[in-house]
Amino acid sequence: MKKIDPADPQKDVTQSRRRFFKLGAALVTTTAIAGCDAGSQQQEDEPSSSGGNGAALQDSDQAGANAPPQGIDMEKWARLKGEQWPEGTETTPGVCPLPGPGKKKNWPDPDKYKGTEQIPGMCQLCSTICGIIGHVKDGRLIKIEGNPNDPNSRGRLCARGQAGLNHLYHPERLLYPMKRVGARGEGKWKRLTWDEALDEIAGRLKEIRESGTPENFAFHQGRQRSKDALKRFLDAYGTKTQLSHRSLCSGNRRAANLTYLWESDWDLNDVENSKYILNFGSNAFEAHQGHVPFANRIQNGRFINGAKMVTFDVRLSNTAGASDEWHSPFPGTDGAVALAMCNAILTEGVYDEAFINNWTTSSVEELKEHLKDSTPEWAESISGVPARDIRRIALEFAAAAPAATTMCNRGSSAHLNGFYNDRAIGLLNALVGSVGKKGGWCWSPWGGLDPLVKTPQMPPGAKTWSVLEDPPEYPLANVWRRMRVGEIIYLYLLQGRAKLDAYMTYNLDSPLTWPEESLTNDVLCNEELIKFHVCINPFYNETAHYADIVLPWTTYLERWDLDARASYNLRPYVGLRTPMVEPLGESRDVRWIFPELARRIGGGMEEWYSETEEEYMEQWASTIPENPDTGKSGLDRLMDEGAWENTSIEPFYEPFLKSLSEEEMEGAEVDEESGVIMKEGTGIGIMMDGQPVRGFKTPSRKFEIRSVFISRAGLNQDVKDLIARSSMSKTKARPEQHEGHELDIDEMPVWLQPVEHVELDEEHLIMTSFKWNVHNHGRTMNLKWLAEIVHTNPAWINPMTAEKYGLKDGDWIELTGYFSRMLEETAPHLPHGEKDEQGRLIAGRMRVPVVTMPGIHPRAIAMSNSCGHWQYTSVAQARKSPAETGHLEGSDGETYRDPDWERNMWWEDESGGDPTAWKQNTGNGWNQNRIMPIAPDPVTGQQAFHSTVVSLKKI
Amino acid sequence: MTKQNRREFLGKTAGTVAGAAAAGALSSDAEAHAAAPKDDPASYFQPKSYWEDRMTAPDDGKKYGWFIDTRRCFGCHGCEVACKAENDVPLGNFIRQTFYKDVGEYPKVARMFLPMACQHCEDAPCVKACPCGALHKGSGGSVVIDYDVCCGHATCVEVCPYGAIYIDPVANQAVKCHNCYHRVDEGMDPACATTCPSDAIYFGDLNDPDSKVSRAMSDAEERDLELVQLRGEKETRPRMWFAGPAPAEIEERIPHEGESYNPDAYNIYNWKEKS
Repeated sequence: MKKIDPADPQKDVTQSRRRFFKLGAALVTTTAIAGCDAGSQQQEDEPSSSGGNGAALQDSDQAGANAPPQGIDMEKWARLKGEQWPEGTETTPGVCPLPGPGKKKNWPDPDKYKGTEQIPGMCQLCSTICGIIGHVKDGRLIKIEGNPNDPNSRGRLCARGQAGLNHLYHPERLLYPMKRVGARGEGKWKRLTWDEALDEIAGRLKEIRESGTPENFAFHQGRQRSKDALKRFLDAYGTKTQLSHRSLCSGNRRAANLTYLWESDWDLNDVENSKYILNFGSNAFEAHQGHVPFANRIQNGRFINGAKMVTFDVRLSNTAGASDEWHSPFPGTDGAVALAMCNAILTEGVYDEAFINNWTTSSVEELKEHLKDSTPEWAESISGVPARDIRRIALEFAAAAPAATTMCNRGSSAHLNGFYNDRAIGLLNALVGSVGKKGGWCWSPWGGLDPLVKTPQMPPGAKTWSVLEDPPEYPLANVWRRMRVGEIIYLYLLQGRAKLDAYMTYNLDSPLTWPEESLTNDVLCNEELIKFHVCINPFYNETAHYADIVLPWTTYLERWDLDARASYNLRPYVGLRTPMVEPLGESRDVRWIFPELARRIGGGMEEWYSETEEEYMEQWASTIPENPDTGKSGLDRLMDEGAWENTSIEPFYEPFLKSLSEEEMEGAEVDEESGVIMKEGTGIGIMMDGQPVRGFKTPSRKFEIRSVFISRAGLNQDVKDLIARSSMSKTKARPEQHEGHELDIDEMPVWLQPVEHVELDEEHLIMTSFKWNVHNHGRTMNLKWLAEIVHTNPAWINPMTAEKYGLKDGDWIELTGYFSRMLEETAPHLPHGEKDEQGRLIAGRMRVPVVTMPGIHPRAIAMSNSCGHWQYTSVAQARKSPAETGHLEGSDGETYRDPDWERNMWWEDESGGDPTAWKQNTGNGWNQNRIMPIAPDPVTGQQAFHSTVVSLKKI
Repeated sequence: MTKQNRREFLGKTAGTVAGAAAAGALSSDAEAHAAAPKDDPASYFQPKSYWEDRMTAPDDGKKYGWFIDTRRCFGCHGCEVACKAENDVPLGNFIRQTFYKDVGEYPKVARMFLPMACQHCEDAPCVKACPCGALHKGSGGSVVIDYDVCCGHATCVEVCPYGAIYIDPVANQAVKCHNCYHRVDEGMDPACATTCPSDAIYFGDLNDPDSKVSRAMSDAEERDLELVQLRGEKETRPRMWFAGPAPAEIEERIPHEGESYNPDAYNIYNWKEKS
């Protein structure tokens, strides 16, 4: 492998790229080196179809008699016409005009896949990061497929992944650095050279660093998959102010899992081997962090293994709609239903007594007492789900155990009581003893690349503190690991609780994805609150609109990463992201940008960037063993195969039963009372039936139904002793940071309901949100093939609700979103904004059309996210041409023109904003975050997207 | 495109036929084709001796077919976007689509999904109706179009019982699923079957008991699943079989003769059952 020239990465990539082979039967066997097959270069300049993915098109109005018969094989033509037909035949064959000059030629091209390179990569159009293969011909990516070598996704790829071509070759993609020339947010830009851009950014960052306040430089990532590169840069710089979106996503589910397990925040439900799948509010068939790998295994579990799937969800998602049963609980009551199921399991005596009594921090007797009032009838009174169904499903679940598992996600966790919902759901698995069992509720310690590759050396962690990164009000946000509380940052800036001298955003679209869009926009636009904003993104989105300098980022198809996520195979793997084509224009990855900035900032930062990108990647992947069939190892092997799974590691079933060896026990001490085995001050296991075993990695070495830790952490008590016994050394005791912010967190799984839901009157509904199967939250509406399928988002209401409000399909309503009353009472640092005449704090108002759907709870109203862009290319705005052109300074619409949507975008909204003229299935929809209040769960800070009380009136 | 539009379109095409004849490109009786709209698809058919050679697949021992396990499909649209990417299909046109239907009333509601494309009928009406001889059987019996010949009469659209053919707005030629023969001939699966995240789509050689489609179908039969075909009464002998309840529920939503797949399938206002 040769050294990579950052200015021209493709040069050496091409030279060093190996043939990509042994990918299974689905792949071409006749690969050749790109450019060697002259026969493939036919008719480059003549379009073979009208889709026009970047190709210029001809008009077709000449089709017909006047056009010369170009390219017709007259001999063949005559042959096909056959013999003459007798006079008087009713229909006479052979009567044709000749095909016009715009006709398809050689379509589909039988040589399309001849002479292509197959280059492995990993998708990044959502967080599931499925393995992909790019078919590259003459330096152009012509198709993306799934990589069968990826052990998690197994070669499958969803609609988003298939639309990657739109992403790469989008004519309005950012390809050049830009600097704003008007006021911030005005949309006026000029092009910069990279040197100019880097010099200016480095100058600002250097000044902040040298003034001794590095924490006033905040890095804010949306979806990031280059953790190593970010960490190295920010630690070398010395700021810990790294902001994320985790609390908008999954904080409660992670914290609930961590409470039980400590070693993992991610339950990996072993659905493929399951007999019963009990789903609370997860839409794994459309979105979910494990989307395709998870969904495919669910269907295998059901249709090969005979599993039953029952879904509880406020809205009929595709997952709910395709389940064996769908139940629609009142919003946010999943935890009550789950506790009632636990009650039924205990009452009917179908629990796993040995597991509960031996392996948890509770007991059957204690649980029976604790849950005695959580009856199915109680849950029915709260959730509306019939008690007989709750009881029946609980008993079915228990009967299928241990091959039975719950699954849950944002449907249950993105609530003001989300932590408690997910605690209650997890408890079901412990009661039936499916924790860690084949077909049960599993996890793995391998959420990333460890232990397969050795992360390159990193600078010592930065020691700064910022209220934006570690707000004192949220006790479980940053204890086990840093989940952070993203949704409060713009409010805290507005309140003056922090200041930002420089703000670098990366793959982030907070105006669309953060609650309270107008507040987000106001703060982003305010040069006093955010003094300098650099945006790194492949497209000019709403965040870029409020930047001072915009840097054109490479797409995931043009850059390097090693990447992996928690695999449903329950064993670790590692995958490779590698440039499939030369980066378009002057787009660059942070693996190039950061070293350039570090060298300019100096002060020792540059010392972390002595190796080339290639050397760095080689070193990183150097532990990948040799493939005996190819003789290749390390990065070479990954460049052949795209991913490597260590199949010598057994799937992570029942790790707590693993015996400790004599060697491990040497010098260990056993605590008489608890049985916990300590060695050198750290827990290593527990005595079980007289034998030393690994146990769980909690302070008790058991599955923590009762958690002393969360209670003490909530009250800001010292928990260092518990952390030592768990052996999870990265867990932090942080009473200092949280002083003055005590929160009662029950040691046991309990359930509570926000006051505004308890007292919800007939005039109000609860809003829920959802993702579509063809979109992620803020980054796919620019892709024409996806936007064609879903581009708008009328609000779903039940026909009964519609009747009550006198609404029918397509009628428009005005929605008002209210700030949480529970948070008004319990979180005095949060309330802000204006009150209406009834004294209610208003988060926002918006007008939208409704669609009546049978699949939604009558007290809920649902709007999808992903819609309502006001930047992010013409496509995302459902326009045939751009509304503004200032930012096109950074694009190259001449080279990458795509006349398809200019010609064929059938969903452009022609109503001019007039609701009475709006046509169904047109336009680009509405951003639901205009009316969503900032609403952090008090325990973890997860944004309660699904708890918002709204009122609606017909307009 | 509505049936009415399709007819208008056909009328226009017939006009150019006359022009072509007048220009001397071909000599034949054009007026017969410019006749009034016909309701019976068979009235568009050409005499058998004109198409019987084209209805006969090359003798390569292969018999390509499809099996769609709609029980597994969760409507992700992956197959459709894979098809758009593979074939660069213009916006507003579709070689394949997945149809949705919400069945039942609150609180007992289910959503069903039906991925649809050309059925590659053994007795393909599009081949019979094609006036210029472009539609024919390729390897394994795939119904394919010769683009040196197709001149956009759209009679194939008029007779397809599944609405599976559209007229390309630029090329003014018919476009339909071609079984990705450019991939299959290279040992790959069609783009849709390759990508399907739910493993609902199976393609392959029905004559080969070890092909993916044969194995999936025999597995389904072993599980006592009923394998159904759509619109069998049209007697076109389609080469696509389905398992699961969706086909019977959603059949009404699939376009008919004279229609093509269209954006209405994506309109959420159309998901629910019509009252």
